[in-house]
Amino acid sequence: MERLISIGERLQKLLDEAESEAETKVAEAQKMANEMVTQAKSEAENRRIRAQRGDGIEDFIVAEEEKATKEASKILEDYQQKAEAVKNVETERFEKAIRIIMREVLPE
Amino acid sequence: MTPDSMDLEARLIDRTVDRRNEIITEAEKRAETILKAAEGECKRISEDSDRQILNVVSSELRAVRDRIIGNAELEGRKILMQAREEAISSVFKEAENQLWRIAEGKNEAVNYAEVMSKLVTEAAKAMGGDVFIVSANERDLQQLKKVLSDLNDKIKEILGGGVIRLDERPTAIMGGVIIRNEDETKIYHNTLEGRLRKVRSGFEAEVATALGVI
Repeated sequence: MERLISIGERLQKLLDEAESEAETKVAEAQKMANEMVTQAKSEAENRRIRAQRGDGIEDFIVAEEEKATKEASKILEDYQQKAEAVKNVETERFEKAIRIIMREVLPE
Repeated sequence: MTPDSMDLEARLIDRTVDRRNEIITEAEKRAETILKAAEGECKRISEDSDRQILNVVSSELRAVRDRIIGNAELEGRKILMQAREEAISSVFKEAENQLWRIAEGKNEAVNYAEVMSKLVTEAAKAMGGDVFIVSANERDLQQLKKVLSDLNDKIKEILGGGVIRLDERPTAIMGGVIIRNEDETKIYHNTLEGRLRKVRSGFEAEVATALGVI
């Protein structure tokens, strides 16, 4: 019986140590999490202040330029398609335009 | 030690080790959850920050966008305008070719002698006066000589008087006439190329509409 009690104490100690280790793990994680959030807040605030001063906005400018350049490329493509359509005038329309010109150039 | 007590001891150890492992695993899971939540929070903070910065720099970004899109719109409209201009020019070029064929008498569907007669009377009517000196190219001068008498009769009929004289020096024009009065204070260009130019400046919109390029 004494032996069992002795083992019981040792096992309880093992559990206590596990609880302590668990608390440490959670506390470390919490500490790390707090540091991460604090750092993120600090960086965000610094970026905001720098942006107000006009610094550190290059990334936004580059991103906006890339976005606008893609849009511009699409706009140009649309105009080029329209231009191609304009160049390929139908024969009927071409002849009608000629008739208008000749009607005005030649006296009635 | 009895076998029963040894078994009891072994089960106690097993249960305790299992519990210990559970405690550590739970703690690791909680730690992982905490770190994941922190990562999420950091991401949210960063996104909020991006939004705030975007608000701050929105006018600059708008300027960047307006510059790039504006240039593309400008370039695009230029390309389209050039294409329209090419289409319109090709029609006027073809009209010019047809006028050359008419002036050279190669288009049987058009009575060029009648066209010339109308060009002369139209110009004389617009100028008014008594004497009309008519310049034309060599080919048209020969034609006008043949119908000069008829033309004079027509002028008298329309204006109640007046005389047409031909300038014997040929002019380098496609067709039609240039008429001046005797003291050269009035001059009226009624050439085919001149009329074509006038049509181009006055009827380009109508031509563009007919072409479907407006």
